[in-house]
Amino acid sequence: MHKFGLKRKIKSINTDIESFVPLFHNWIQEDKIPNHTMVDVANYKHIPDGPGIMLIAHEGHFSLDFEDDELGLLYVRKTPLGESNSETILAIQQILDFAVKLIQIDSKVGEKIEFSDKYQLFSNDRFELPNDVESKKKLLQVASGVFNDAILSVPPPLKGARLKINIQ
Amino acid sequence: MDQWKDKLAGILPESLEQEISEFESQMEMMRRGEIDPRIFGETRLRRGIYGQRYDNGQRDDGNRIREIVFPSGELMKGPDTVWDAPGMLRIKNPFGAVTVDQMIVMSDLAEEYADGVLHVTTRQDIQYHYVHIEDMPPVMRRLGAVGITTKEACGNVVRNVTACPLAGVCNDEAFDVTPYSAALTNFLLGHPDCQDFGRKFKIAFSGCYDHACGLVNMHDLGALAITKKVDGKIKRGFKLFVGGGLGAVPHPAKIFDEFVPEEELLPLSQAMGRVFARLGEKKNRAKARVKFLIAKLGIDEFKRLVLEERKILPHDDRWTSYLEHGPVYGEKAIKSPSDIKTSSDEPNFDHWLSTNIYSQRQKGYSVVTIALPLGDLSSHQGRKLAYIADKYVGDAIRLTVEQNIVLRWVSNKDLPELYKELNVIGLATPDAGTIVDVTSCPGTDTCKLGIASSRGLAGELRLQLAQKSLELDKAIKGLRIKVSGCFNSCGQHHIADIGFYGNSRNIKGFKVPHFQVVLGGEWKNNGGSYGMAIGAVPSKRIPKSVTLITESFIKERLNFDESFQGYVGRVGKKYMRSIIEGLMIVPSYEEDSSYYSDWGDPREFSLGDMGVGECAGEIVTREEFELQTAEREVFEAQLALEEKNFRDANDKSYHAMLNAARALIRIENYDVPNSPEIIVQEFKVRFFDTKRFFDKYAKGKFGRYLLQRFDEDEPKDIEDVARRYVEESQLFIEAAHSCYARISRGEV
Repeated sequence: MHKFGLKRKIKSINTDIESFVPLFHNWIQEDKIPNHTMVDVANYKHIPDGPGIMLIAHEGHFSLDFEDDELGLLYVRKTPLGESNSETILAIQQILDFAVKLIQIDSKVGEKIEFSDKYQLFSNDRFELPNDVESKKKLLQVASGVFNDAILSVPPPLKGARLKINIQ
Repeated sequence: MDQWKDKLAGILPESLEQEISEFESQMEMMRRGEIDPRIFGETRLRRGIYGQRYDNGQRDDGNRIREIVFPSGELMKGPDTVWDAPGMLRIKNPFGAVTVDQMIVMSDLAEEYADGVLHVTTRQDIQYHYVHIEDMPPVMRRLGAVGITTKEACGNVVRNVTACPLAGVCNDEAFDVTPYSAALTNFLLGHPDCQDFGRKFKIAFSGCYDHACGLVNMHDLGALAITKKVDGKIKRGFKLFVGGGLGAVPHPAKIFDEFVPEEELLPLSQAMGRVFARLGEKKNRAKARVKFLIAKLGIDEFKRLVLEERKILPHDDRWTSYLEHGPVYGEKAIKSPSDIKTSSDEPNFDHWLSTNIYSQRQKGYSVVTIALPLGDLSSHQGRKLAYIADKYVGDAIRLTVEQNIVLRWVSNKDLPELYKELNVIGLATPDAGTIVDVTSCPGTDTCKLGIASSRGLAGELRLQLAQKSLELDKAIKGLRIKVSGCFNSCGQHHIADIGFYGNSRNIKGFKVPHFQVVLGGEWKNNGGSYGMAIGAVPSKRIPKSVTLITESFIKERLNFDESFQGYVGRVGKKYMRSIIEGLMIVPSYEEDSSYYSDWGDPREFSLGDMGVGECAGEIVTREEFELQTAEREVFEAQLALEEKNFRDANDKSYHAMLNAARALIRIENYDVPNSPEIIVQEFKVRFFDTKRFFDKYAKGKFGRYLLQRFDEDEPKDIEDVARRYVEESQLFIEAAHSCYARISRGEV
């Protein structure tokens, strides 16, 4: 399974999130994300509880996401990545952390945003890992292997929502 | 292999599963290069799968035009469309109806396969963007499992049938048009008489004339509910409008008939489909909508032809079977009616109550409009909204052509609580149906034909107008603004009080995004009249133009009764232009470079990203489609052969031959029954005995394969026999293609 999403939470932000529109365009211009076919930037800032500003790529989307009022940089994988779920999640974390670094070193935005060390992992595949007890066990097991020393917790389930795990 | 196929077996209707499986076969044929990209392109469109901007594999990144190198390389999914390029999927929601289960599934799919957003269109559809073509079959299956189809959402077919979102609860309607629009939707979906159009065909239903309602005046076929006393009894029927349409050159509809009895609605529509398919333009897509056919023939001749066709239609029970029990749609309130309670401690409740609520005809109930900025809601909002709807109204949810959602049958006492719950999920924005509630097509965000950023402009206008919403003069609060990214009018700018469509101007070697200002269109009276263009203004100055135009109206109107249309008509085009003329001048790039990029897009403006639109679909004839179906069947027969399923290979290859033969026969005998005996007999008489099917060198060899096959009774599960049959079938279909080509060239 490859359909996982991982969000790195943002502690504080001192800029309009629209400043990510030119930043993401710049990533496309300069091919900043390896192994990604980047297509476009989408602005969904007008949707509360939505994906904010998005960088669309064939392999996965990056977004400055607002879901449940928790701002963070989200990466949602769209195409196969690792051999196992652990490998996939680990690779996703590496891609996401790389993107976080790119933001942190950006001259216009970097100093205005502070990322926390908290992540949120979710399954984006209701066939392989639906939001049920069995899948929760599976996902917790995989996540504990990937995020070795982290504390894992499962947020209160929202009816019908994706299976999520908080990692800190 | 789609995992959902097994999981949904037995839930998904068999016919739909069959269609999706066939589409999977066509995808496989495309991957192997065994199908004409043009035919695959139209096939995919007819399954609702549309192209998106940059799907030709190139994009202007702001510095240069660059190639987007997708993993599938040069594999295509249409003449100019790269296989891996993200695509759009359009979901048909007839008359905008959505159930709770459907809303949940649509939300799930948006986040699993698209970008997490559900986009409500100006035709009561939902669209997903950035979807991989490989993901389409599971998406279609999961939608099908909750009763949704994407079939014929795009392409040269009957598109989503729209209707007034207040149908059934409206205070002014003649009667509820919902059951009629449902019946016509089901009847025409995939109907053989509607498969050979040169362009799309749009249908709408209205319950009354005075309001915007279903906008029948701008549709290919519009049905306006009316009643008439016949022999002392009230008889239901429709005033039928035909040949309306917006597009680059808008056409107001013509009246086909002042009163068509309800039982004639379906057969007349079918007859119209036949006439359009037979006589409509097929080569020049710019002239292929039915409005051009009517203009060419004249409404009287068009009507005569349709009525003649109606007389010879073979009877179909479905024409009237839905009328036997009512007709009723069956939507019911889940709560008891109650009096309106206006007190709430929520600060914006009163504002919301004043703009987003419509009192239903049924006392004690209201329709609540959920105003969606730019027609968008996130998957999380969609899911939460579904559960809120479930609690208050059940399945009484509809999408609107103003890109909003309405909840019907809200018991009045629930309004404060409902507001509170909607507010928590960001869906209690006030000002629905006001000047703040700007409508927009996708424009340059995702559309290949987009010239300027309609969504960027609409978002900016909405933001600026919302900030001063409470101070806006009542005279302008009720005006409508609608924005299209190009002249094609998907944003319906022609029927807005203030409309805009994108264009471009060259200023000293630079391109500058502009919008043409169109004033005085009429939203009411079913889109009663179209606005007039008064001049193009740089995109960045459009908000200012709205301010100047609305201020002039407030200051200069004759009295409180003068409408905006009346004002614009009275003062005239020249005067209106003079109001905005000062805004038309563009500062030089050196003075202010911000004019040289579009709203929400930091890249320097260019037209380099425009592509070939798919709105018009590919002109693929019915015969080509049917021959392609035969090809798909023989392809599936080959797969069955590989899997050692000889009986299946045998049956499929025979069926493929019959279908290919039938495709040819139907050129001359449209209603030929789908019976092997008759097909073979007709083929023999029309094509074999006349030698029209004969190959230059092989003569009658390939045609004989079908005749022999019909007579033979070989064992079906022997490999050698099955292999021979599959090969013969392949050769027969190729010969059928050649024969069709000769017929098309007038050689035989």
